[in-house]
Amino acid sequence: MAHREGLARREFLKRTAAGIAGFPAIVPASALGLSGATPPSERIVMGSIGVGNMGSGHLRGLLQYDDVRVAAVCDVQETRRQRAKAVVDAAYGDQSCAVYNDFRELLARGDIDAVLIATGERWHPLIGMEAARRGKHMYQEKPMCLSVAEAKAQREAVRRAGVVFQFGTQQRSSYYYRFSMELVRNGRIGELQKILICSNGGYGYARQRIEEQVKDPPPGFDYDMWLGPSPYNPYSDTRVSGIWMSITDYGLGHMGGLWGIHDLDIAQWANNADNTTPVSVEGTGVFHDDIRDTAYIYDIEYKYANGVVCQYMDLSTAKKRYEQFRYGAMACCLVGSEGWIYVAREGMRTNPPSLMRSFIGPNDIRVIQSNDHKRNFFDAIRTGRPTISPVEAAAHDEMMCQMGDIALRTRRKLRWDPVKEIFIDDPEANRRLSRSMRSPWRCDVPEMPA
Amino acid sequence: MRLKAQAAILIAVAVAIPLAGQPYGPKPRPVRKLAEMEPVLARIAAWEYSQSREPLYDFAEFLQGALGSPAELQRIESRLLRILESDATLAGKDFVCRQLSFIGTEASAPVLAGMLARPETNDMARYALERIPGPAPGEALRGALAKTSGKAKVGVINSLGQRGDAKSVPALASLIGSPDEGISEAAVAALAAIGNQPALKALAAGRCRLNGIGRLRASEAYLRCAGSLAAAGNRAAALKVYRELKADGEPEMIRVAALSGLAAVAGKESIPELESNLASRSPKVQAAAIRLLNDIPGPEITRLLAGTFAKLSPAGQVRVLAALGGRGDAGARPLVTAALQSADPGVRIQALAALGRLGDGASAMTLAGVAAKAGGSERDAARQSLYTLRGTDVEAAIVTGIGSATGGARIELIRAAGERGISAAADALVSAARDPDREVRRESVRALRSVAGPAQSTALLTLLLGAQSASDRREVSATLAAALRRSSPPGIGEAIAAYQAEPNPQIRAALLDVMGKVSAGEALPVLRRSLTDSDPEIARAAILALSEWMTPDPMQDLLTAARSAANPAHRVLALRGFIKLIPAPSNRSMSDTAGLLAEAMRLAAQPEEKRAVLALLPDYPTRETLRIAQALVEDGAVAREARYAVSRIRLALGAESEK
Repeated sequence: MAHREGLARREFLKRTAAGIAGFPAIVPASALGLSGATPPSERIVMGSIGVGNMGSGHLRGLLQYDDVRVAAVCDVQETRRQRAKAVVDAAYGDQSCAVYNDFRELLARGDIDAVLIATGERWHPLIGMEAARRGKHMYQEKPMCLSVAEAKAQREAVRRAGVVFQFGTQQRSSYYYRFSMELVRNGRIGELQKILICSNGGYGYARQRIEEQVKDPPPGFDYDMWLGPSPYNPYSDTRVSGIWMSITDYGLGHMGGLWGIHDLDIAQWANNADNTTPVSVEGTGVFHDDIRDTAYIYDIEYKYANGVVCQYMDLSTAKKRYEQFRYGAMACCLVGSEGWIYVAREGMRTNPPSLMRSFIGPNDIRVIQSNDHKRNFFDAIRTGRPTISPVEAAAHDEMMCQMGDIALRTRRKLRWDPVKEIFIDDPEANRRLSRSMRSPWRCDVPEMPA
Repeated sequence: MRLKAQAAILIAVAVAIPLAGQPYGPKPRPVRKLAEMEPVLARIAAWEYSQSREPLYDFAEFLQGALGSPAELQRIESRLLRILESDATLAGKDFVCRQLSFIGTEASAPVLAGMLARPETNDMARYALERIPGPAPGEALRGALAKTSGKAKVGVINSLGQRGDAKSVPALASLIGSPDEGISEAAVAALAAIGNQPALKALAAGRCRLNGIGRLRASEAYLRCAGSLAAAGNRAAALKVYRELKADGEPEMIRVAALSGLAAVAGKESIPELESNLASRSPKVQAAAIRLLNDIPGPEITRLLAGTFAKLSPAGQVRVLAALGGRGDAGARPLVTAALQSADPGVRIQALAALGRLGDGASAMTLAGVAAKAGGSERDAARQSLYTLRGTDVEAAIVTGIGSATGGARIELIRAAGERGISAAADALVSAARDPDREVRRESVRALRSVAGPAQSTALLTLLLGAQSASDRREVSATLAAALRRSSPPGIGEAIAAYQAEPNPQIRAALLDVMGKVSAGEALPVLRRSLTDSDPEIARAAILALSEWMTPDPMQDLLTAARSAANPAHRVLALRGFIKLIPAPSNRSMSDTAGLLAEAMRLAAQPEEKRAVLALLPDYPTRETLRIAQALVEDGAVAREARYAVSRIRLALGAESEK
């Protein structure tokens, strides 16, 4: 495969526009000359966009699947994309992995069936919407985006294109969470009443103040593309390190990508609320005040229309308030009228303890059985069946994050209309449902008929 | 398991009980007046990105406090606009614009309008203008169209789109086909966002003038505009667009999107048009047609999909089978069953999956037969469907089959009985557990582990007493223990009696294993006595059985054995058992547990036991456990684990002190 970096984007897009129609959905790539158990013509050809810490881990994961071929990688940092190419080429024993600085060039390739999106969330909806327009299926890291409007727009784009979407909330593909959900759905803890979340954050994260030294970006680092749609700020090594996740221009910190959305996702799943959101939110929080400006202490209460309450807390708050979390972290406690379930990645426990031996049979209510989040994605591509973390779940998870953040910043109880997906009678809060983008970037405005 | 440590504390908590009811959050700051903020505002006006953000946070905090006071907000807005009109730094102005995006009114529009023409302030001005309600920001943006170019103009167009500025439609329409392709693309996107009839008209006309990527973008915009009109109630206009763009000559994804819109707006009326696309040569269009038809309820769609099945490619057949399975309409069962004979393995696998959703008792036999004969993914799919098949007659069919089927199919049915937890199969499984075929016996015993209860315990005990091999004894003892645990209180008496009467030491050891797994109190004295049995195998079995105990009751016995058993191997096993029981639920204080951990570490001579203790230490964060971990940070074999434990304990102790 040719090295495509030298080609101007627009020229490249022009050349490929004519070829957008007519490509098969799955790999017309017999020319790849692949061998192995899965015939090349049945392999899913993928591109990996964003190959930093999270993305490179995913990339290595993709290389483990016999029925997947990674054909291209993309990153705005030269060193990262070359490193990723080396990993892919070493795995396949050739030099065919193409590298891109601009995701649009990768997405314009007709032979790519699916992409793994693991950039910062400021980029997720733009890449995701372009991927949908190009008919690419997508496995997208969490969080989904940076605003309610972006979540709605990407949800629509994915639905319109009918492409497969898998959200990177991979806890859904683990036994403990699945078993917990099935216990709840089958009434084994009675009626679900409350969901307690002990997420990330806490006082420890503010012990050290973090400031930045402004400088020029290093060679090979396309900082303008790194910033993308987010407001201009000059380059600093600190900004582009993992710290960006706690800067509001790029993320919601602990309440979003620094773990929190994982547990909000479980709350939504437990309450069978993938297609809706709570009806009110209120809380208190403490925000960083150095280069970071997101909340690191938070205690937020969401209420659903069905009466279920979700209490979303950072580590310090949860440990202080609930015995369940005194020695556990990043966990959920699902409280019902007849018992509770504590569930974390490491395991689960229940009250009564006998629930742990509870049997979920074929005639009970089951959730999608997935033990491998990526395999579930690939199966959905082949069969058209829904993924375990569909775009609706992603959008509503994101809305919960955003609602919580807005409630903390406006410092009042907010009522939410889960149908219109706006705050009720609160224009000031509603201003915060979208973000302007730095030119030339823009987000679609949602339109899809209900 | 580490979680048991937490369970020790949590077991007493029936439901989530808050520890403290006091508010937990930021302390309210005193309300300040705008005049008091002048020094801060002066610093903001001179602020550069490399400087401390203190004045920014200070002002943001002040602004939060003023949110409830319209009069104060008006004064603040005026003051902020003065900064924008001054020679303040760009960084300072950027901050001010962000604040105006939260509180700005139409009064800000003239000042922000002046910033649009300058590329260095265009973005920041738009951040505010996009969010400010009222007509003035729209006027400001429209006015800037003629004064900007390049990226600044694209930004202005984008903002008009975000605002849904209907008055800008003529100006935006004139920009379609602009030599600057970025401007043209932005214009069509903005028209899509505005989404009214004039915008649709402009896109219809503009689309025809474009080609290549520009036309593709215009077609996407045209579709989105149609969607907005449909959402506003103008179905006819939307349907006209969808029908226009679903045509064969359009790009593949445009056709897919058009079909999606058509199905969403027309519902069942779209069935013929979707059906005609089932035969599309484009796999994406075909997949869309299948998906969209599948979204429409009713048996006629099942019949339609089934009727098309034979004409489809294997990839299409896979999708139809997945759709039929999801629909749950048993009318598709004959087709799905027939598809099991497909030459394509992917189709066969999907047919098996679909049969798992649509099948009945007879299907259970079919699936068992396939599972017995097939290999790899096909066997896995058959088993998965056999285990999840729903229906009232399925379990009866499986129980009957256990008695009547033969060979591999019978074994698959036996496994299914266990996987499905069919308690009605228990007696049939007990019979099968006596079968001459070793595999039938083994699978039956394993299946009984999920379904056997006290009613089968005597039979299982008999099986154990007659077991010929160590592996058979292991399997049966685990099953017997599972069966006994299902009664309350667990009836261990028969097993104790058998132990006391049994001469064979291997069977006696297996019975001790059962006693340990069941953990019924009346067996504890038997196990304690066995610790000092003259037969070392019995003593060893007693240690292992006590290590399986579900409460901390035998901890002292194990500790004694760990300290003083004559056999060194028994001392190690006893220590491991002791460590294993430390996290078992108890009312012990944390400092008492720390003492037990210290004792375990003192006795641990090998890295394995040290690691096991280190793994537990962070669950009991005390000065004592910290000391235990610190003492091993230089121990080469376990230094890494020790350092990790130290960091976790320190973190936990820090969190405690913060409270």
